[in-house]
Amino acid sequence: MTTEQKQDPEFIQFRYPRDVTYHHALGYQSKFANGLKQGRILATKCPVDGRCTIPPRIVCPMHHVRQTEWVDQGQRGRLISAFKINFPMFNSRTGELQTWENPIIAVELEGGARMDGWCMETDTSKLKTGMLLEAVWRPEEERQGRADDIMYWKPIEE
Amino acid sequence: MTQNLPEIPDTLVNVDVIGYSNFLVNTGATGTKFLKEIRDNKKIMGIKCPSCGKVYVPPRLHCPTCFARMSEWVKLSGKGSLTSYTVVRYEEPYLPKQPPFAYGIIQMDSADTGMAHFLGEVDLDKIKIGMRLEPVFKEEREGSILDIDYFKPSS
Repeated sequence: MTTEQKQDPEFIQFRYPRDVTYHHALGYQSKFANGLKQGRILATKCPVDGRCTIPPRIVCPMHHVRQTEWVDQGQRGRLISAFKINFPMFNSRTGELQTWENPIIAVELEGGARMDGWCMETDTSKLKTGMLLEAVWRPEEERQGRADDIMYWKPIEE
Repeated sequence: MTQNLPEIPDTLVNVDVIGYSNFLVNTGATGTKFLKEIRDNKKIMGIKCPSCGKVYVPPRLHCPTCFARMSEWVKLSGKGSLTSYTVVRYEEPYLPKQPPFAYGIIQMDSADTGMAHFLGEVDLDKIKIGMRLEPVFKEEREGSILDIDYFKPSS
């Protein structure tokens, strides 16, 4: 009733395609999305220490108080950190392997909040922490109230 | 930069979060043999641990209890007993069958673990734990666990 395992040249593989698109109700964060559609970056501000958060939160995670004030963060910020993915990764929107030329960066905005984004400069040797960056937006008719309405952050001269 | 901005509307926004996955699942040497036996010979195979003697179906390369590498294949009759089941009565994306249908865990004879699969040719209200089952294979098989169409009550 038993057989020994032998080397087999055939290996069975199969694809597992799945469309996982879903509707996301933004709720309190709708104001943030509406701001993006207008080409503006809004953050919530903590009434205790004035810290601004993006994505906006209804309650400050540090002080556990309700945040009702919205603050325009401006169009510029300074580079905090950057990294580049040097191998292909799956694009969650297409399911296909994709290479990413643009570094992913963290930016501290003029208003004090921090957010992630893509950097227009693909040469990471030209990126320095603290350098000034400016948001490059999609055309207004293409904006959907998503974080990627900001296509890139572009280094600018001071 | 700290002015209030009443001109930004509070209108609620819904966004479509678009996602698509396309995993390539590699069944490996052990999974391939298991699926090939179903596809080519209509046989369900288990694999036996050399340390504790447990027979696993579906097979796996290492015993999860004693971590021994397993290579001894055991040919099973395919018949077994139902240990658990659930009836799916609602429809949602990616269900492999049209509801209502039943999933069960079948404890195969000569095996120590259960295998999940569909139950067929059975009144959904008359499924009983412990009932005897046997596999029904598809006519056209392609090397998938769905080459077993379902398990039906054994005569």
